[in-house]
Amino acid sequence: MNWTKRNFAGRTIGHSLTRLRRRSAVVATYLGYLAMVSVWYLASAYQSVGLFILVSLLGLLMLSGLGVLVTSWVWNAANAPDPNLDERQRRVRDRAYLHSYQAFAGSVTAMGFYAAIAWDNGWWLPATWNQVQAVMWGVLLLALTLPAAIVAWTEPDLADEL
Amino acid sequence: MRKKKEATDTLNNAPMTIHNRLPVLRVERGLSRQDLADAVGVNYQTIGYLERGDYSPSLELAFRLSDYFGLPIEAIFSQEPLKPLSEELYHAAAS
Repeated sequence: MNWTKRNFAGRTIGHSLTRLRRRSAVVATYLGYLAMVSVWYLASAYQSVGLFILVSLLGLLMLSGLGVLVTSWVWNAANAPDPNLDERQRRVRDRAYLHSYQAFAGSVTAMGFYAAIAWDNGWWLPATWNQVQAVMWGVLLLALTLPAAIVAWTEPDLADEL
Repeated sequence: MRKKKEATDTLNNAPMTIHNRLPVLRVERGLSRQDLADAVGVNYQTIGYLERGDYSPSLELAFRLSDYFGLPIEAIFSQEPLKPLSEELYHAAAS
């Protein structure tokens, strides 16, 4: 399977997607989401139009990073079924899922412990439906994109070496 | 006892580097990485990884490469750095 020719816009984008750009997309996706949720929380508290505009911009940043992950060869590298991959590609995919599970399980465990301690100590916990949604969508984003993000972060640059 | 310890030490050590002659064999036959990849059923990037020693092939892939080049596996892959083919042929002819 030649990922470098696979894309949704009819353009060959594989070679142009350097590791720096891929890592930037990962940072934009996750930090963008965190920043968007945080600023939205502030915007709701202060009813500031400027902050709501900033929320929109951060949302666009997140979506642009997510778009790179989902539409590039990275998504197939992390999610394609066995028949579409050779033995090395399957190893890359399986390793991405292993690391994703370790990170995800660790995060969920940490959140569970935090919730238990926070409940006893009166620390912050999601109290409104909007706050619950923010956490829920964050967990969903992580669950669905973490393998692709790991591949995007770790794979070396595709070389022009046909 | 000593051989068993050496085997255990080998097992406990980091994964070994597999040296190969794929670049030489490919160039000798005028093949691109894509040609070789198509012949053995892998992605051309995997051929690149194999040649650089960044990936060790499975036994099945090693056999496919062996069949394709018409050479035994030990002539293509080795745990020790491979001598240049010209040097090996010269010494073989001399002896």
